Amino acid sequence: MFLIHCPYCAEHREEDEFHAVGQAHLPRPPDPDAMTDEQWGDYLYFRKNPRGEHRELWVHAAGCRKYFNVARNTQTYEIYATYKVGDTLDLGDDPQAGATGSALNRRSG
Amino acid sequence: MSNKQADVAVMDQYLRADTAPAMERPRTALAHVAPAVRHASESGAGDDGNPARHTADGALSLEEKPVTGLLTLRAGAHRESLATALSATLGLVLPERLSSESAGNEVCVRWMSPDEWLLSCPLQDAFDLECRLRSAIDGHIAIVNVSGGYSILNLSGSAAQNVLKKSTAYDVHPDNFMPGKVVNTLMAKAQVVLRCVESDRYEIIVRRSFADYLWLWLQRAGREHDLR
Repeated sequence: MFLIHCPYCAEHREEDEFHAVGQAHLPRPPDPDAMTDEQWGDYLYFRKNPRGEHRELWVHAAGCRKYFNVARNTQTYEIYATYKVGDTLDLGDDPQAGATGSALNRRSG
Repeated sequence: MSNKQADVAVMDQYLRADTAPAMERPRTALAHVAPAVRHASESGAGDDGNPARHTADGALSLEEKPVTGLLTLRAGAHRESLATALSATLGLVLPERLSSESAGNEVCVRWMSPDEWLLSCPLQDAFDLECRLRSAIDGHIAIVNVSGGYSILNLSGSAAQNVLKKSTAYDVHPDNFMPGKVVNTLMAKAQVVLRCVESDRYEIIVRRSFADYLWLWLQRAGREHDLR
């Protein structure tokens, strides 16, 4: 069990109160009609599954029922930060680091 | 005023001050527990015939409140309007994060979420209060009467904190959970609204369908203190 910080309740709460929803920061395409089927399919169904740093959407299901973003490591389960929907967070890493899994090595080094 | 009151069209089903004497008191979620308690234990039921259990030494007491009026208030962009209405109607300020504001023993408004509050009042006042709030607000605000959906349990006594510790992962130490604080959390896996009313006195608001389960859980948790 671990504690997760809810940015709306501004408290650490037990993991039980939360649900993971999926990858965060998926902007809806501005003009879906102009997209090819492949692009639309990618937007709709394809998600990153990185080993290492990842941004996810979580919901404080048993608490304030608000959605928020979590920057965490899928390998170590370390949570770097949580922040409100609509906010952005720069961890000071290469934006591609999450996809390659190199973030973990750099952090531990 | 009358215009807005007319908008509230559903209201025949609600208990109101002027019809209350004629109506039977609504059954709480745990009404079926009370008679059993009266026969099976020395402590019996509470003053109102509501389910209640106590320890002989007064260290722990568990009781269900009679059906209470509950209004869910939601306001996003127009929360200032709700705050104004609340202060004009009840003289209460809109509580900030994880806190509550009370007017006497019966009326309390709790923070539930950045855009949601839960107001409790005597059942027969709920309709009137809803109308008064509706006529005072201006903007995109929702008020929903959810009185029938919940059961309210009171847990009190010097051992109450110990029982909570066994039941919820939330830190109920007085340094963290002080009088007036409200949290939405899990208690024995059931979702509850937990409020510290005063030192050693806690209020648990739970969905009606979970009330029986939570009652049995708390009864069992209080056994080490000889709760009967």
